[in-house]
Amino acid sequence: MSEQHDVTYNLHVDASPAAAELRELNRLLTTYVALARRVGLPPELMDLIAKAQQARIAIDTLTRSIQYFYTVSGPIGWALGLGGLALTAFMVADVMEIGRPQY
Amino acid sequence: MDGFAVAGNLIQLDFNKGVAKRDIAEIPQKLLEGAEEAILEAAHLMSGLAKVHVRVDTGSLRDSIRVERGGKGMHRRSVRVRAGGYIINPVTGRLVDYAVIVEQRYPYMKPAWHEVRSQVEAIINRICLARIAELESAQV
Repeated sequence: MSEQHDVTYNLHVDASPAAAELRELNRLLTTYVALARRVGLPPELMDLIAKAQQARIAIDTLTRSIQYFYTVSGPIGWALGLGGLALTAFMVADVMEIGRPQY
Repeated sequence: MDGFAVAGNLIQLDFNKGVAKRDIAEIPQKLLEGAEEAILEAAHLMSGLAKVHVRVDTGSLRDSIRVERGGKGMHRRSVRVRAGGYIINPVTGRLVDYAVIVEQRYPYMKPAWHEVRSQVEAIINRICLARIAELESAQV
């Protein structure tokens, strides 16, 4: 008797793409900021570049995770691409200022 | 705090030293912990919904619906929601061996999955955010 009579749904999470993206993002942004400093760009512009970069990556990651989620989910298994929105606020290498909500 | 300063409504993080540097290195682990907690929460939600949807005679099939922890890798975690086996049906005297047949005629796992599916991403984001917020750099 047994397992073949069971109904099983697997929920699986793989964080390795997120970890790899994190490393790559860190490397890219360090390069960006270092280059911007070298060519003497004003800090406001550097901040803007970093923020734009953050937004783009956040959107890309979210979109990718949603697509991944819907293509692989189903009766045989769940596989979730890990959404990275929560991460990106911490992703900027070197020094960066992050706006805090005013109370 | 080393590598960390607050001025007005701005937070300045120096990612090359101190707490911020350490926190960045910890993010993948925090994410994985959060993701594991999130899939467990989703699985328990699905299991509860399946128990509501399932047709009941002796209650054995309903009682056999359960959450099990699955495989574990360096960056992977798995959780299973299962129906069948595990409980002996008092009428047949055998382990519950009809979970699939009932699922085909009167689906209970599939509707539960559909209800949970739309919430999984929100659960993951909420719990992962909470885990990231535990990092010292985020304690402002």
